[in-house]
Amino acid sequence: MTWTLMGWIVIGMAAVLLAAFWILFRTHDFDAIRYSAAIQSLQCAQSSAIERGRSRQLVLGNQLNGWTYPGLGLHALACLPGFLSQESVVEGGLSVAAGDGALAVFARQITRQYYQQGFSLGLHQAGVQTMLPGPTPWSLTAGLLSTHPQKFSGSMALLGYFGAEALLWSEAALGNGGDVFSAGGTLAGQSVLFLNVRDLLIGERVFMMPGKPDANRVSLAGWLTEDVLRLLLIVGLVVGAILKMVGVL
Amino acid sequence: MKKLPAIIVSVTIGLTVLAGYFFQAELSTVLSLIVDWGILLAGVAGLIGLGYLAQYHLTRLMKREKGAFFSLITLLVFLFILVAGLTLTTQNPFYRNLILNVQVSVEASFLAVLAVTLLYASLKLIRTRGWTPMSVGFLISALISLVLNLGVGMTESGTVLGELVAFWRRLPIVGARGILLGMAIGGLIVGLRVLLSMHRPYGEE
Amino acid sequence: MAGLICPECGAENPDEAKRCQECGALLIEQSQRADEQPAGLPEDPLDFLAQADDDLPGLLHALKHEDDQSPLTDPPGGEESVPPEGDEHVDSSEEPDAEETLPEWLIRVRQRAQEEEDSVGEVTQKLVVAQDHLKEDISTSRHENFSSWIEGIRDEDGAKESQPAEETAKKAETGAEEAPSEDEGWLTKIRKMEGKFIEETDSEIKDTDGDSLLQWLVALEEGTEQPEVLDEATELADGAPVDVPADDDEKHIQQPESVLEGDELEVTQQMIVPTPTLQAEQPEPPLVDVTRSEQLQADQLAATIADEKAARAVVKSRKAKSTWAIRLIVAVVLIGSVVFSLFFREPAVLPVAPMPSQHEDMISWIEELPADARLLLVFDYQAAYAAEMALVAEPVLEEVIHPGRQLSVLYTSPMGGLLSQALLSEISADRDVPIDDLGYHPFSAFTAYQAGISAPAAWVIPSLPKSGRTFLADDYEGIILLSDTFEGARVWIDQLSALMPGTPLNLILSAQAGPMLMPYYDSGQVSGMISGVGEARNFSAAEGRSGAILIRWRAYQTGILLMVTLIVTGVLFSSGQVNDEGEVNA
Repeated sequence: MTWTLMGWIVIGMAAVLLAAFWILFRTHDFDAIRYSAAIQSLQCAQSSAIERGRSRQLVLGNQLNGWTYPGLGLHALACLPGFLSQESVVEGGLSVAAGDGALAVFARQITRQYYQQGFSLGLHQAGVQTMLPGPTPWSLTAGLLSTHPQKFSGSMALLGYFGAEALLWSEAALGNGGDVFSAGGTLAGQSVLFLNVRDLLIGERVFMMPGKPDANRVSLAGWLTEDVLRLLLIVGLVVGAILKMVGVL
Repeated sequence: MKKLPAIIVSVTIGLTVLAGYFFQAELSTVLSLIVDWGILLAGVAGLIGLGYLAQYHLTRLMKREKGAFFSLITLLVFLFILVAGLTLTTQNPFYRNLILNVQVSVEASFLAVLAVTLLYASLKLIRTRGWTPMSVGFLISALISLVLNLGVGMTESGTVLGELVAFWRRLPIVGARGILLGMAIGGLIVGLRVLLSMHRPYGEE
Repeated sequence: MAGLICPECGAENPDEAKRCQECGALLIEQSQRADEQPAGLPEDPLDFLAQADDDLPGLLHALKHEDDQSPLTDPPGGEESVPPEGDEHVDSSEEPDAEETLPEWLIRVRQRAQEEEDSVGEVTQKLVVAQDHLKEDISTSRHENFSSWIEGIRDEDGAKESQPAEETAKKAETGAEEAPSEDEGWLTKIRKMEGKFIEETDSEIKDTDGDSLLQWLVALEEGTEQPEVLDEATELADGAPVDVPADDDEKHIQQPESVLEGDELEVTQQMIVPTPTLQAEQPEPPLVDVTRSEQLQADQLAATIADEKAARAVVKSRKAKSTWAIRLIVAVVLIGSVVFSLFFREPAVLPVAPMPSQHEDMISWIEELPADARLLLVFDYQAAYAAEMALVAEPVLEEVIHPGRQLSVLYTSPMGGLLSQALLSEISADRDVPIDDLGYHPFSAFTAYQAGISAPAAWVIPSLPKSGRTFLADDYEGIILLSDTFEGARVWIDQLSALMPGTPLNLILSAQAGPMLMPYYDSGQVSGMISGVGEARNFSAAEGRSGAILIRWRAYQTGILLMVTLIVTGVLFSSGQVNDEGEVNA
């Protein structure tokens, strides 16, 4: 039993649990009792920005494939439809910024697909603005900060893979009276945002986002699988530490 | 139905890469090829991203929006650097000095701004979040790390002071490890959802 | 010239037109209905109202063509009026006496309103159309009931607005000029019926022909009210003297009533609307007697309007106070102190500090390197950290790069090539060390993964293209990774330690990455590591080197001390403050 083999066992278990829960929720309904004050606050901030006629900004991070946090880029793309669903009641105002070419392409494709499924394609051009302010983290920062200050006065949501430079983005938004929400980032990014962002999701809570506000069975299955794995991990850590202390391991 | 070939291709490639960890000898050639194609696609996406960037600045310039002048400068410099890089190459000392003297200075300045912003945000942390265990612990750990970085407590390993200093240096890592484990689990689930085609944000649900 | 008014769009059309010239609606039916007035019903002097199937246009047409039809005829089909159930204001049910005195036309109007859905609305629409025609002559358009109207005619000398009134009447009816003789005939009939105004001259009649009814309808639509009761109308119909208000200028117009079923509008009493006098007197607001349901609706509407206008506790977005001054002061103090330490302080005298184990291991590895060692250098940091990385890497690379050794360089950031050239050119400028540039690899994980695949391929697929990457075909005596972040270094450590466990991996890191990667050193996945200016200073001291690192170290210490001081001071000052919302969030 090597650590690599153990890792594959965990991956296999996760895949089986995910599929099992997904199939189970096809026939049974479960309440998604996952309350997050930060996500509630995000929804209020988005509504407030819409009603005040302010713009909304969504930052998808600067990498699609952050290898230390492999799910963050995909997580940001998974959250994007939730923000696009509000476009049915507003006339534009949402801008999506990404620091990676692949992220920008995927974001534009998701937006276009969303509009084709429900909206008029003619609204696409005026509705959501997808842009790549810069291809590297600091050039992304320079591009974002050079945006018109009015774009920061509404609601800003930070998703995906980003580092400590996110503090400058959040300061720019807060300084213009906007609301900031964060669900992503590296360790450094989350720690610096802790200083001035109240609506902050840290750690595995970041991955609650794709299922909000309307949880579907895929999200429910994912959350339950995470819970099971987390529980097993905790038990394994505690048992391993005890065995190590007594000298067995 | 038209998405089915794309789904089949993506699932096959993903499973092949995963299988490569078990069957390295058998699949090394295929894996190298897949990796090359992946890098190529990412490079093309990067070029498309640069196209988006140029389009954004062009749009600002055409619409005479606020900041259009800086967009003009951006585009001109972009073209100049592109042409210079293609003609002079990165081996040219002039080209290298031009890029480094600008890029390093600008990014270092951003880092300095970040440092000042971090300091200022730390000053008002209590005002922002109040006297909570999290904010107090955050401040205490930050101060301890800063003091240790001064060179205080540089002792030999094995001594009491040395072990205490080592303990304090490793203590933040414990919390970070928990966060990393949770994010690893979350990332694993997100990846599996995409790999098993349960969740396709880029397409139909 | 007479004309037909289209019931759909209100446009004027010739008499002989069958369809409207504007919208194409059928006009024949309207005119035929107007023509098909059954004869003889002396009790209904204005019964043509009921005949007009589509309210006003037909009504106006009927008014105009009184020669062809008898206004005193029964409605077609012999409609019987059925008062709505539950209508508490229906005179026939509650006030039999009133009903007897009510003119027949009024009763029929009510009946029609009861029977026809949205008849009021149709009337209203047509009234608006007719009003458009009347608007050109505003001055004389309103007349009250017959008595006051006739009295007004009697009082006036006929010189007053006979012409405007005539134009108004004509336009109200057909929108065209009418022959005075037609109006007179119509009016004469009314007067004859009333039995009161037969002796009126035509000139007097001209003043008001056609005006009273039409204007009365228009005034109804405009909602002007007259505090008159129904009795006045009944008295008027009977020819009894009407109790006219003392104010002669106050004129009243009997308004038709429209009764609808259900909870909707029920106006069953007359609304006597004041009309502006010839001197453009402001009409008084009429008294409207409304039903209970109407009152509830009106109250609800008023409450809604009041609620919308009421002041609300609006949550205004608070723009953060402009703190540029504080930021500027902090920046000036911090940067100024660091710069002062850089240029105006003596270099630090380095005490001999105990060597951490990770440094010792790295030094041991360096000393054990063969003279012709092949080394792989991986540059994985951004331009922002170039200065720090150069400071930290210089002591190590000075020991590693010797003539006879071979270096291979690859970089995972766009600026990595230029940064590596800048760093290595400073160190190896006077040393003849061949440097193999392996190029830019955008995805460090892919590269590290490929680097770890060392086993030859067992499956050979003939037609499959070959990968161009062969840089890791050779063995390396060691790999040195220069990284500014924990994440970047971790990828290489994860891949290489699993796939190439026999190759020593040493780390040169920035200050932010070092602490997080210590567990990898503790677990043996990393041979040695050095991170930050502080450890570089110790390494230099152990190696007996001095130079820029000492000056930088003094400035580094000054900056950290200042930051610690400012943070503690800021916390103490903020301790007495609560945030604006009075809540504390974790």
